[in-house]
Amino acid sequence: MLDYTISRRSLLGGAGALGALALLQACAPAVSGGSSTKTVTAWGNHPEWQGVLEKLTGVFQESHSSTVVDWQFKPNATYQAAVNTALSGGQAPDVFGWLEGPSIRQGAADGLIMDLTGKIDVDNLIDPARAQVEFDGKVWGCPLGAYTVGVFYQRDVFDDNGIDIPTTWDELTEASEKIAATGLTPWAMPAKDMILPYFFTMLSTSSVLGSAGFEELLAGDRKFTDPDMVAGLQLMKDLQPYFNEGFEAQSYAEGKAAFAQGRAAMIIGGSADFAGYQETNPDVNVGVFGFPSPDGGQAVTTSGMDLNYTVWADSPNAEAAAEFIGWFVSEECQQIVADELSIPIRKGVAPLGDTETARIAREMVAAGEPNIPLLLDTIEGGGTLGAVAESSGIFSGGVTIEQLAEALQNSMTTS
Amino acid sequence: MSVGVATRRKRGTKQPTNFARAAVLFALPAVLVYGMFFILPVVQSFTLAFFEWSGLGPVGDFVGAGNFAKLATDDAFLAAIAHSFIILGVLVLITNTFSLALASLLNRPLRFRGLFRAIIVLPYVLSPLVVGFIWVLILSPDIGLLNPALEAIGLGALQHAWLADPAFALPWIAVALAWQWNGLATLIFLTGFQDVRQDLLEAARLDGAHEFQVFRQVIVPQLAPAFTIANVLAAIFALRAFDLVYVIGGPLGAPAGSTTVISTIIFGTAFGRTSFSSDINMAYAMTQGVAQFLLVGVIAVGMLLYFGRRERNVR
Repeated sequence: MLDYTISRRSLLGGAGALGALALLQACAPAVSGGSSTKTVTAWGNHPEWQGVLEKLTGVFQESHSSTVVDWQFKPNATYQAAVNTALSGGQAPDVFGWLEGPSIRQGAADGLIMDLTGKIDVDNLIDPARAQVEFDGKVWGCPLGAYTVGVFYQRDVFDDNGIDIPTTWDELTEASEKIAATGLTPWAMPAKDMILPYFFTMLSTSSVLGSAGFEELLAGDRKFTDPDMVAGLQLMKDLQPYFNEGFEAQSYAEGKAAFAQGRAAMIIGGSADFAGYQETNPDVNVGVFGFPSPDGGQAVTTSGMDLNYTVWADSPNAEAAAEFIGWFVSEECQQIVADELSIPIRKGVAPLGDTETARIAREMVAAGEPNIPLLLDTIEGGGTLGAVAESSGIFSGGVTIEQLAEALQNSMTTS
Repeated sequence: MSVGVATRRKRGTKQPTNFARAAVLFALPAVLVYGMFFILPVVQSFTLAFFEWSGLGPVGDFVGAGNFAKLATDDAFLAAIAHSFIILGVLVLITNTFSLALASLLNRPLRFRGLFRAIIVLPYVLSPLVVGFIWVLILSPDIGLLNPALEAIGLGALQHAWLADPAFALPWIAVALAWQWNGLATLIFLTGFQDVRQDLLEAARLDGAHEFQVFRQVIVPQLAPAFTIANVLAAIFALRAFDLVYVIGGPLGAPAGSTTVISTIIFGTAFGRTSFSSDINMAYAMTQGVAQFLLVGVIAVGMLLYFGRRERNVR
């Protein structure tokens, strides 16, 4: 009879070996599907884009078979918090984005992201995109898409009531009146987080400024407190009676859903929002127009970047992650972005398909000339957004339009 | 015999030392975990409050008491403290009236008493996030339950966009918090009722006291420990409220900043107040956190002293 007794030394030795194996496993880089396949983890902030992003990564993997991209999504409202926490805890994903503005510069200065100079084809990036990711003589990341903000409207409501696309502020007010007379809510203006009121103020003041005036504003020759700019801010207050009931406590997501379901006729929206409208209501029938000027001049849109994607400085899959981000600029990637997602960031790419997303993108491009950059892009600390956010009392009367104009002007610390 | 006595004496003298050593050994893992995951971060938070730090990258310059000086003149933070105290007032009021009355009712031999008790406690078991969503749904002007209910009972004129009105939003948040808190408060008082001495009740009734006198003069004094626990926990619950308030009021304390509380202000300072915001200041958030810690500590200790004295007077 065999004796299977195990000595204490053997037992401890075995346990030690198992422990060492477990430790090695824990320390090993994230590798799956065999030793040559790298899994790159990427964090996005648009869960509604999941389908298109998976299609994009499928195309990427056709030419990069050794890389698997695992998209994970954090809600936009808590995205930056999740990234900051992950970075502070040393558990960041390989690829993550920075909200447009100066935060990416802070990340680079703090050594949190990898220098991608030579890995991103910046020559083919549109200028606003390049300005976001190229600084201090280096390239630090790449956006996947841009967004343009204009006014979405229900095509059926406008057609059925004989309402033309407004070309002046007065016509915009008249259109709101006509729609209200039908019993439908003219505007969805969710203001719980003040994002849409912010975009409204940027559009209405941009419609006063035009491109030349925007440069003057940056140079300090024009001010938010100028009478014509205050009038642009006042327009939002004048249209308040046409906003949906309870808009002050409605979240951005709820407001978008209400519009997509046809419960409001107009909403300020970005090109990226259309995918969300379709998800809420596959039969959504909307169009988009540029924000009218005060007196019938050229309508305007305003643009910004979606997340500026970067590679975590301590990523165990840095090379694969950099290749993935570098691929964003490629024509094949940007054509999918243009046709199915958002505004492309590569020069010369335009939506081609006959999809609804492509139609909206074309309307956006046509609606906005001039297409003025969001001030968020150019101001240190995202000051203008903070100024509007802190002035939410404009709707209840606690803050006057003049005080909002003052706050906006005070936030203008040019970079 | 003498050897046995000596052995017992020897053991007797060593026992306390061995017991103490064993106690220390048993407590050590818990103390280490507590120290590592609570004491150390708290001390670090206190330290960071004296520096500049956005939350990313290396910690910046030492600023002394600069962050605390800023706090003293920060209107938004002071308003949030005021809002938290309004919630505290509502919770203490509800605790000492509604929850007490409910516990008294549920202490009687009712049919389905167990079921009623479970229903009352249920809100406290729910996640504050879920409770927040429930109340948003109740009060929504589009799909809410309250406005149609008012209409149905002929009070349609009272219909309102409740959460969009700065005058009503915070009171409704306090009501939602009280609705959740009431579950635990009732449970605490119910536990207190179990300790009420029946002989004193019988003696009071034999002496001719009517039910309200029995309640006020005999039962309430004996509930003193329950009052202490319920009120101190209510204060902590109110001053630390976050999830539910955030769900209803959002990061900016909508509408018009009328629903900011201490915790939502701290979150906004640490992680940005809007979904597009990159304006973060972790060191200042730590300063606000330290202020909240001290505030909760002072209030809780003050209440403990006050209610403790009442308990001693009862004895």
